[in-house]
Amino acid sequence: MEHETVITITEESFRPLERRKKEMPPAVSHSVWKDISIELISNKVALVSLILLLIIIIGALFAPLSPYDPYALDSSQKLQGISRAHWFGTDEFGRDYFTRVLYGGRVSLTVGFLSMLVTITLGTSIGVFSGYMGGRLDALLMRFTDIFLALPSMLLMVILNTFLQPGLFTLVAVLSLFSWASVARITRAETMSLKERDFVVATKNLGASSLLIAVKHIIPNVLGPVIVAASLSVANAILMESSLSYLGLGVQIPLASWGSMLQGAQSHILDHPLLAVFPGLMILITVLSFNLLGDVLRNALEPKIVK
Amino acid sequence: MKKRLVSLMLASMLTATLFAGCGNSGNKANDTTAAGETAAGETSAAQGTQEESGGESVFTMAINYMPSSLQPSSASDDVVMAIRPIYEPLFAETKDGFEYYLADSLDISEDGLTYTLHINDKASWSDGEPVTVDDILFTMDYTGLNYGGVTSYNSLNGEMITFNKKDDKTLEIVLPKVYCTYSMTLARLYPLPSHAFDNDPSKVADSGYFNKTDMVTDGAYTVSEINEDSLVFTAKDDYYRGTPSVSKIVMKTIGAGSTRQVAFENGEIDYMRISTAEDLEKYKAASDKYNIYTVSEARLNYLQLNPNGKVMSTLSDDARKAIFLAMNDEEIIDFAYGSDELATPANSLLTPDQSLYNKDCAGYSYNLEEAKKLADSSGLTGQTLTYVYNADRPNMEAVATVIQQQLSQIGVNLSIEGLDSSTFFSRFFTSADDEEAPTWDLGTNGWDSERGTHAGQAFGYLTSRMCDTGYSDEIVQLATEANSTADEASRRELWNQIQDKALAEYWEYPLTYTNYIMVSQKNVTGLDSSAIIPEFIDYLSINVE
Amino acid sequence: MWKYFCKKTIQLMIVMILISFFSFAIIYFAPGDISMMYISQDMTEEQKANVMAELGLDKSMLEQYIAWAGRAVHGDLGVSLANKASVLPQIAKRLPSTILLMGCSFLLSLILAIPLGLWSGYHKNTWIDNLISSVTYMGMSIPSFWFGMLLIILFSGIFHILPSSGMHTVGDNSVLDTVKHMIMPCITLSMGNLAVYIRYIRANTIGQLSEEYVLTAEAKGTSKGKILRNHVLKNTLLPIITLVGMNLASLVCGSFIIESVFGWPGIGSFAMEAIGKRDYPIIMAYVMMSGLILVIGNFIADILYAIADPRIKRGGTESGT
Repeated sequence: MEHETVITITEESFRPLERRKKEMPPAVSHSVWKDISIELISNKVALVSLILLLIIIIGALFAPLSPYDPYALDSSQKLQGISRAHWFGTDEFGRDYFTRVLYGGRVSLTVGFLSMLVTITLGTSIGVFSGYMGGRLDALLMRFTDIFLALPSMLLMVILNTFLQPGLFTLVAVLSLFSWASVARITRAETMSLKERDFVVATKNLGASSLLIAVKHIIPNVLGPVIVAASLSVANAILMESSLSYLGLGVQIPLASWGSMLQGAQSHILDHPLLAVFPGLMILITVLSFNLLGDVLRNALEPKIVK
Repeated sequence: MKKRLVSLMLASMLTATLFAGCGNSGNKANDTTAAGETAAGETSAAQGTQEESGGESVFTMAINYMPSSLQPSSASDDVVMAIRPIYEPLFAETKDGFEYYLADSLDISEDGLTYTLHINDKASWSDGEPVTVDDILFTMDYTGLNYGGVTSYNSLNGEMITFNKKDDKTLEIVLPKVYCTYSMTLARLYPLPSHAFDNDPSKVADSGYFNKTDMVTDGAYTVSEINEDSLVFTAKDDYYRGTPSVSKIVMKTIGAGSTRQVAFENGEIDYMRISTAEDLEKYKAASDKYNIYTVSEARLNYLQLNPNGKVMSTLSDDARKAIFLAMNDEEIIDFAYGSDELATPANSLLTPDQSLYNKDCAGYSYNLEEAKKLADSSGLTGQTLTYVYNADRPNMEAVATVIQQQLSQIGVNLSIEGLDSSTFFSRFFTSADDEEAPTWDLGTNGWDSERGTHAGQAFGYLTSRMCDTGYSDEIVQLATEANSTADEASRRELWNQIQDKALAEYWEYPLTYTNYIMVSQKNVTGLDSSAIIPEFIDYLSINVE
Repeated sequence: MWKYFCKKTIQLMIVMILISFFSFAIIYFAPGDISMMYISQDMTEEQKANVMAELGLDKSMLEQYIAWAGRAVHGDLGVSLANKASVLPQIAKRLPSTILLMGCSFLLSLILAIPLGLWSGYHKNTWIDNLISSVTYMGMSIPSFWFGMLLIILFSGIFHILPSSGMHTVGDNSVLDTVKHMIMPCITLSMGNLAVYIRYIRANTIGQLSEEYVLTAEAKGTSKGKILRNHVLKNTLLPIITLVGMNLASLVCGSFIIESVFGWPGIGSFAMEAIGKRDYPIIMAYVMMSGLILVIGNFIADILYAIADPRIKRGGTESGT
């Protein structure tokens, strides 16, 4: 295969090169990131959420620096209160709860980001494809998407999760399976309007392939709404994961997400409420920050919404 | 605009209440609930309980969910618990013999083949009809309907059992061979009222009979209310064993997790189970407000090594030995239960609630050095094994957490899967030719209600009837022989041998004998007088002041 | 209009068919053999086969699905595997409690959202708007079961003013008693929707307030309060219809978890129990019932909106949002 491509040089092979010269630089795509950074710095709420998120993410990343083993049991340290040695106290196995929360963050954030990535990739591809192709294919795909939007997702997630082997990847797969549809809807709408725009029509008339147009022009321009959707999607995935974990359908021990820590804390909640408070607060802060960021970004990228 | 809004809201509220009302009127049970109906007028007949309840004693229990029907069956602990005030078994087993309920005697002939069951002459259904042999035969027929006519009631491994009705109250059961655990099967039978179904077992299914308050009962109580979230049972005057002192039993659904504890401390329910050492301490400290009861659960929790497991099947005897020697029972109890009042280390595959239990059985003892050596020499070190547990059972997740840590010390990694009961059992109970048999290497399970004068469930497992347990032919033969030995002394001798020999094969590690600890409000007494779990079997002994 | 109605009806049916097929497939391909639970070790191979046949487990998935669907269309949702009783009456018995809970939390969120949304839109960027916004965001971001647990601990465990779970106190059939039981589950369930509605109404109010007709009214000397009530509210409420339809899903799915937290005797907790027992006919019936509530809700919202705003209808298939 590789040899073939090297050998066959036709007129066609030079096309992309020639085209590149004529092409307008996609100015819009730069401004997306610019808009975002301006907004993030100028908006206090966004800045605070961003800082909080960074702290949590860094905490989770550097969790192994903690002097405590998140899994080793210690019967002399069971259910200790807050102290200098144990910032969040210890759990019923004598494990340092602060370390557990950091490691829990790794799991929760991993689930959140992975399912966001899958959701966004799936949703954007379907949305852009559908919007760009138009016609019957589009109509069919969108009906399909609508159905996914109409499904009682949480319910099917629970059923699906009960029957599948529980674990991190099952969670990610199940969460993304039921959330790509809204992303597809948004990107399709954007694509529909973009493909009528002058610069796209012009490129098309110059003979560019559909794939090239989609990758070079459409996707950079739907980036704005996609980023917003991504932020909200992480929030949503973390929230959903916590619900599934609460029902006992989350990651397997000794791994723990914030959601499964909450479930584990249930039996001690009356006498050691802090065990439920810490992971709960972490979920709240993380989800809140992603939600706020998402909205701030939306405002930045869609000037028509009044601030 | 305001007016319109208000009327819109009223309209929606009306719709909601209408829905509620509709559902109720369609439901013939004495459902007196739903905001709508009560608002429409206090129509209910069975009501006015509020004034009444001043003079009577009420015992309120929490249930996990509303049973979909009150049909007596021993299908699950939840159902058994909910129906016991109204439906009774023939007898219950203890290590000292039988504790009689509907039956007043069960005589087993010397050769162990003929069982003569006599039903209490006074035992009757709440409509006055006597409980008879026909009810028992009817119930067996009904059970057979779902299983092609063959059940453990009427057959022993394919050989049919003969039933002779001597008179209305006496049933003679003739076994084709001696089978000591048959009494366990009989103890699980809850007679159905045959006269309510014209003696036709096919009428039971879908009759809705056990969803109506006028169902006849044979226990100490009758059903007076079936509400959306609660059941109310009222004491019978003519109960054959006496008159219960508690006049009303209320079973209430209580939300998950800590909700139950809140409900208990608020006095919404009269007792609850304690499963952590912290709670036990807490309620002990407040002994002026609460009573604490400890009842042996007659349960053996054990760790099973799966002879068909993907990795386990490749391992040698020494590797299995290494696993068992690396486990520290005391530590497991310390972490998973936190107190030896909740669980004690198990030393045998039988429980102390069984007369055949040998307290001198040596069990396994922790020896990390030896375990490390064996793990090394047998090639176990560095292996990853799949561990399954039933996540619906209390403390099992904690046990898994501890065992994982203990086995990591001999270089064994556990990949743990917590499963809900249904998934767990379908994977755990497998034989070599099952698709799912290789999917796990080790797992914890429990045998419950291990009470009586026979080996109970242990017999089934030792002979691999339920699933492959790995035992050698010698053990299988010994256990089979023991279960068909009528003579008590020689049976005990055989079981003593089996208890030792089974452990020497390193397939099952007896983990814990658990206690069922309950805490009740101070005015409630007598919860431990009938030591049978699921609670309660003898409602005469419960008092509420 | 008629054409639009028909199209929506067909769409509704397709969605229901797909929901049912999808859930049927999940259950069919689920690992673990259900027949396990219905076969005893004393049975011979032939008897086992009979049980399998009786349960319909010996046929292919498509055959099983078609058989199921055929019966379901006639209102026969099968017989519960666990207790051998028909599924439909069992579901119907518990449906009112769920509808009551969902209806009340829906009303609660709407009743609270309208004044709060208008208020915060009217006073945009003041402290009161910020306060309402932050509460709104919290509501969106809090795990509902956790919030429910906190409420139980606070109001039942510490203050002892509300019952912890269930729907009635036995022997007390007053409406007040039910209301008391409903307060916490209702608040928990309405949190999510409340947030969405408030944000929506706020944004709309801000938009409307900058419209020219508001300026005109102001110029005529109409008071701000009157403008809000007479003009803004009307124009804001209309789009809410669609929003309500879209957010029914969160009610249906939310009630599933909330019911188990508060021991609410509805179809959610019933289904949860059925999932545990792998009682497929009940699981299927529950999914269909929730799907139906959801789809019909959407359907009504679509139709109402089309009636209210005739521009929608002409959108047809190409309603490219």
